[in-house]
Amino acid sequence: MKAYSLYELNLHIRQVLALNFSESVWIEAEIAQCNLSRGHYWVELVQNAADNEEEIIAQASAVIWAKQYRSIKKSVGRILDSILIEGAAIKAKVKVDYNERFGIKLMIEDIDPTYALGKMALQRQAIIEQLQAEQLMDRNKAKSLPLVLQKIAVISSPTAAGYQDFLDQLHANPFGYQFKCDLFPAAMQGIKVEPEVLEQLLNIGRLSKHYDAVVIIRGGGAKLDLSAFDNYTLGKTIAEHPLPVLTGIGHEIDETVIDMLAHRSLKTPTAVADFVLHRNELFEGQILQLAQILQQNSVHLINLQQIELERAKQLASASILTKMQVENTTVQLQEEQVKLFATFPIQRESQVLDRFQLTIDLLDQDAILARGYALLSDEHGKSIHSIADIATKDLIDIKLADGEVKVEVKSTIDTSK
Amino acid sequence: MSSYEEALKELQVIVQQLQQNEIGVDDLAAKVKRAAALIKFCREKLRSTEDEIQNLFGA
Repeated sequence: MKAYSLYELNLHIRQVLALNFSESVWIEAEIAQCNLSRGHYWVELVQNAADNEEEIIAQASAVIWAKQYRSIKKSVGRILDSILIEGAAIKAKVKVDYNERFGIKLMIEDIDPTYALGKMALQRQAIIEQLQAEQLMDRNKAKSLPLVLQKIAVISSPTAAGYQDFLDQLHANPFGYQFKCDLFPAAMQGIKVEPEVLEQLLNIGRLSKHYDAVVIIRGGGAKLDLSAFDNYTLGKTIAEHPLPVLTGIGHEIDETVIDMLAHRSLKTPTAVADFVLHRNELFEGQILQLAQILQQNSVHLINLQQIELERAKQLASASILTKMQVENTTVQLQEEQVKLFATFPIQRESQVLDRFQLTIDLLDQDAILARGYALLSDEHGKSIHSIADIATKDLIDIKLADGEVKVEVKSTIDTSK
Repeated sequence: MSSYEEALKELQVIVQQLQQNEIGVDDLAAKVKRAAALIKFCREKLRSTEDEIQNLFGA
């Protein structure tokens, strides 16, 4: 039996293939790997079992030559870069090529972007349903957002226009508010979005006490550009993050899964900055309003107290007046009583004096003599009070009111015996 | 006094007490002074970087 050389076999295979695959065909597959090298895209295409995503049932190597890539990009647009990522489902027009040494390779000639878009929408829906099933949709929204946002952990690309917009808008605020924004750099598009944003979310999670909130921002882009943010792991990590997460990653109509999971989703980085400023402004307004109420009420209270004080003063002076009048009356009454009672002893004394006077008057010699009595005294001038002092033939002086008589006692009669 | 939340809460309590006539004239000056300090703290903190805050308030 004749034996072919390997080359002869491979040459034969090549001829068979070329005969049967003279035309390009459209295929559907998932990108397992995609590497850019010198302008060429080397792509590993796979198909998983319908009932088991882990099980690969078909695999093939494919390539987009640099020249071909430029022509596809022209027709598909910049979203092509979002399609050419690991995990993306694509519909591609391929030419089956066989090389005796390198085997089968699929030359990608065209890519259908609508297919990729549709697949992404389905994938996005599945992610949302899973997050809903795990009750994670409102987890981050339930976190309380600090009244003032001032220490902000920013996940963005340092070169992203959106990042600069955010900083400019924040720092140029007319209120003079200061902010501390720390950048945690991460890829904002392409395949590196998931691992890098995830890593930074975890980093910030470990530093959570130093921040008020996480802000994820980037400039807008084509809808496909944003597909990296329709990601289950990022969504779950945001839902369970210790800090409230604000997003500003798209433009008007875009809403990614992480926007839905975030505490608050804003359209643009500038809108996030405005939201932060407005929140701080609201807070300041609130305390200033309280200050005003405080001032008005204080003044009111003081006024009330002054009125109260004035009334108390009037009341006090009125009562003092009344009291003084009462006192006055009492004093007058007492004074009169004192006057009254003071005359009593005087009258009494005066009566005594009158009586003394009377006695004195009775005892007055001249008066007695004037009433017709006479005073006897012996020749020595000693007054005679008793018959015993007189003897017959004694010389006696008789004193009358208006003269004296010298007499000789003829006889005496003692009437006391 | 360390956070905006605490400052706001304390302010609200003072205002409420004042509105409900729970503050006498004797305490008024002290309370108003405290409120003014809280407001000043918040407003200055809003306008300071973290380092400045630490210097200002010795946190």
